[in-house]
Amino acid sequence: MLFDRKADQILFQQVFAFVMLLLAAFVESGLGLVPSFYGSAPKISFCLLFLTALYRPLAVPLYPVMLVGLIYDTVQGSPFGYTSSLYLIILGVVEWRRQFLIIADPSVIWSEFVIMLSGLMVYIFLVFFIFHGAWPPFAEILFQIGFTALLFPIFNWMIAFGRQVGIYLGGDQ
Amino acid sequence: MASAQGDRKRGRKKNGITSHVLIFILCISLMTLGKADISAMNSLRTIMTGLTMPIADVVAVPIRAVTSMVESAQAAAKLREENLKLKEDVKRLSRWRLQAELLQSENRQLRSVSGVIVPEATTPVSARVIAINADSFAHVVMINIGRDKGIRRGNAVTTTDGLVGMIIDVGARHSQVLLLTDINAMIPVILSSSSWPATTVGQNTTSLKLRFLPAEASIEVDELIQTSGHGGVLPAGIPVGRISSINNDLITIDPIVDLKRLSFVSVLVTEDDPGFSTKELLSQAYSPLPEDEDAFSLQGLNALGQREDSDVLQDSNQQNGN
Repeated sequence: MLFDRKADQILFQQVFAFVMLLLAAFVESGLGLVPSFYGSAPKISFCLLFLTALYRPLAVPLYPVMLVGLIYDTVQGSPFGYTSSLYLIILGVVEWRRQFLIIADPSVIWSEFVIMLSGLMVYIFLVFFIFHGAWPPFAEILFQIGFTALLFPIFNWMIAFGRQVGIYLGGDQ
Repeated sequence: MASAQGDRKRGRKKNGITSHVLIFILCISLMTLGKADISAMNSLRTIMTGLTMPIADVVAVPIRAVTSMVESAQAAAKLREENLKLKEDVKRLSRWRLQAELLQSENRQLRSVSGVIVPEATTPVSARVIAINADSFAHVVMINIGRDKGIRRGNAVTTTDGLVGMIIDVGARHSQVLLLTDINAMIPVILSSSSWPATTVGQNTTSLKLRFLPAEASIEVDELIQTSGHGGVLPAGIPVGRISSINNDLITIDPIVDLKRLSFVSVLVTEDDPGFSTKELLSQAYSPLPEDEDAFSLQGLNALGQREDSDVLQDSNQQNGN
């Protein structure tokens, strides 16, 4: 075991999850430079947050997640707190559905993620309408959400693989 | 014992839900405060952007390199085809160049006789784009120069093709550019061929809408739209886009700059920059007439345009007669 004390282990997980989530947010922001993803880069931070909250709930406390959202908003010029509110919805949904999802098949987890993304899309539409008094570009948001949904199984597989390696090396579930 | 543990667990869960809801409400409050355009929020945002800018810059490097590599490979495949097309274009352009030189000469002569006011000289300052909008919520771009290069809010941002947007936030070494495609961007423009005024409005997509065009104006697809300079924020004569479609009242414009491929931009810095403070603009637009005691005032005139206070008029006439 790398850590003797449980608290140290959790702290390490929290720091690691924070750094990874922050990196995902910056990569997501950087993907805007790719012409095909202009204005609709896939939300890889959503996938990462969903899976981390599912398998390592203690690694993603509310305040660091909110901070990552705020940092993303500063880079992207979105309203302060917008991305944080999206992240908090994801955490809430995972918290609510964990008992069911933790023992579910990957396909079921994926379908739940897609349902959650659909709900987030409605939220994005509402916030956009309240802020700008107009509906957002439907095609762009649909592309972004659809691409994110397609990427999710890859992340799920990567994290499952990482967990298996961890268990093999003597870690816990 | 088991009951006490269960109670503690339920209590922790309840606390967790409460803090979750409170933080969510905090986020919504932050969004509302941001919308209210409170200066403290704007300052906080500028400071945070300044801190995160170096990380965004570093992360963008490999992404930009991969994108560039893919684009180079695609470009190589099209090279032969493009070469033939370019040869044709060179022939055509050489004829156009001759015509353009003649028109330029004519334009110069016309300007000298019509007294057109040439916009104040601006200094272009080059900047590198660090982050482009990855969301459709806001079409904002971050660039790597700020107050250190004399950038101010309201400065126009262009490329060699035309207008990109305008500066909305300036930090010490970074600035944020509101792209002309953003839903909050409204740019006063004129039609190049007829000079009819209108306004372009962003839609948070890759195209713009043309609004407030007078009903009698005639327009055609592919017509060039350029900034009018009205309002004094953006200089006049910067190409904005071309009309791509006309469906009854809905006129769509494609920006002349390929905003998906922004790498470097020029910020047009003016020495005496008005910025885009509403108060300053209003004071310029509606500056009161200078007070002059001898000036003829509308106050006190009757329906025939004569002063009602006839004694004053008589006195004045007597003094003139004397």
